[in-house]
Amino acid sequence: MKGRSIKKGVLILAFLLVFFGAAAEHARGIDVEERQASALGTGALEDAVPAGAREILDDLSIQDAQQTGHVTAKLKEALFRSGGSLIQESMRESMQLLLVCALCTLLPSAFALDARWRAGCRLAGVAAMTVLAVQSVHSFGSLCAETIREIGGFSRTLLPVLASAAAAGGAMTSAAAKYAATALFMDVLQAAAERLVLPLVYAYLAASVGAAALENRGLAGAAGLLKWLAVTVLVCISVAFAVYLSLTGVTAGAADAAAVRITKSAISTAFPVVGGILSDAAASVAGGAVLLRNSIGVFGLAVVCAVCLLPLLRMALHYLLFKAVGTLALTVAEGGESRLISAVGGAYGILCGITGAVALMMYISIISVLKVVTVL
Amino acid sequence: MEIDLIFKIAAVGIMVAVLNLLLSRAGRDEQALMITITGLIVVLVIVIREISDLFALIKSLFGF
Amino acid sequence: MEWIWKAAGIAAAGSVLGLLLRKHAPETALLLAAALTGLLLSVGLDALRAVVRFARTAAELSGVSAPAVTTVLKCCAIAVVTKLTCAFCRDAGQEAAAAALELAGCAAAAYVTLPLLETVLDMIRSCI
Repeated sequence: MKGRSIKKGVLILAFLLVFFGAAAEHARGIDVEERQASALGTGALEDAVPAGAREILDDLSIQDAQQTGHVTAKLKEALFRSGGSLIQESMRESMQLLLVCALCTLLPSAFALDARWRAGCRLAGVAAMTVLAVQSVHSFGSLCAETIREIGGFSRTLLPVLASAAAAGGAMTSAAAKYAATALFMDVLQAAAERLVLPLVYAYLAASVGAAALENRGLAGAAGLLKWLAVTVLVCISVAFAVYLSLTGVTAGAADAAAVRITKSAISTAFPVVGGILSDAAASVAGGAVLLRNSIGVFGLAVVCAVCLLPLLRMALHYLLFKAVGTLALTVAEGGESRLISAVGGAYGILCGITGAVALMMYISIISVLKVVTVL
Repeated sequence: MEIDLIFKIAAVGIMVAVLNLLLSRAGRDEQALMITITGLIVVLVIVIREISDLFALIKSLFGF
Repeated sequence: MEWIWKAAGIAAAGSVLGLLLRKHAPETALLLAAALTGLLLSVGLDALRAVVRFARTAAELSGVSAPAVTTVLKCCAIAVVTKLTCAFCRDAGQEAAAAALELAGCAAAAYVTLPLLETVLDMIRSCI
């Protein structure tokens, strides 16, 4: 009898302490979300935004990122501001190659030169086209490597913060597993892009130049093989990442769902009267972490989009225009010079693919963390 | 380079040919040969000067 | 376009005169053929000048570097001069000289293209 009344008294005391403690916190006016944000290091995440993305997004904060209309407007503005000049740049470079190709074909015809001299003029023309093309492809290769490094650097700050927010929201196992998977595959893709795919692109371009200059089928075949190799490496890494992430999500997600259910019922069972209240209070705090996770995820998506937007647009425009001009050049010259223009377009396409693969990997990773199981 | 150059050369050539024929028939083969060589040298000088001017024009036109 | 009719007339008249001279003064006939070739080339030079000017203007407008276009034009010029001179040598019955001149012409064209090829090699080296 005495024991039961003591237990009752302790429980009432605990309830009163929780109630008045929460009331005191509320009276002091301290925001739980703010404390969660500073504990997760969101300030460092905002500082880690690359300079180019910062210019486009105008110092966007994680709270502002929740207004997706605002973010979309900024990206659209950047697109329209730079789009015109990028189209002009692509047109000018493709027309330069077309002009040299036309000169090399039409001048020998105008002077009624025989096949041997046409081959000599073709060699001079291909050399001139190579000088123009290699300069441009090399600068785009550097742009691609720089973009990958920026995304990689930002991901090293974003992924831990996002994983921590997801873990605070109840997805401890899956957040950690997805963070590990993304970090691993980002490093693999970055290393493969810089050490394997970019050299393959240059080798493909060199083989295409040789095939155009010498009208050699063997070299043309070698160029095709090198292009196929570069594309296959990218596709394999991307598919492996997607498969690994899906499998991780399935197994770790189930473990997290079970852990959340067990924890909730354990709290409810351990404290007979206040257990339900404590469980709901814990769920509310975790729900705040889920909201913060979503904000961080949207912020990460916006930054990655801002980093990739202009480089991808530039490369895509070059790819499309060079392919179109290469087809147009076939009407002027049936020889290797016109195929060289298409080959240069192909090189731009591979560079666009590398940048797109890295961006897509980040998107898939962020979205998969945003969709993990939560306490709510 | 004008068209009268052709006629000049043709005239020199015809004159040389006629003189050559006459001298050969007259039995003066050495003089015939001298006339032929002289005519050749005159025509060569004219042609070389004109061809040289033409090459200079081509060089300036094509950027040599 | 008047020059094409002029050129056709000159070519016809010169050929007839050459035929006339060939029998009695074959050396002069050969020099007449050389002068005829030079004259016809100079008559067509105005049109050639227009083509070359167009090529240079188009290159300037699109931003293609001048050396690239100049190299192609030089190759064409070497080809034209070599071709005509080889034909002259063959007319004179000197096949060997014609063949040697063709070789020299190819070497000259390759020599003219060398700076461009060196630039290509330098760029490839810098990429690697």
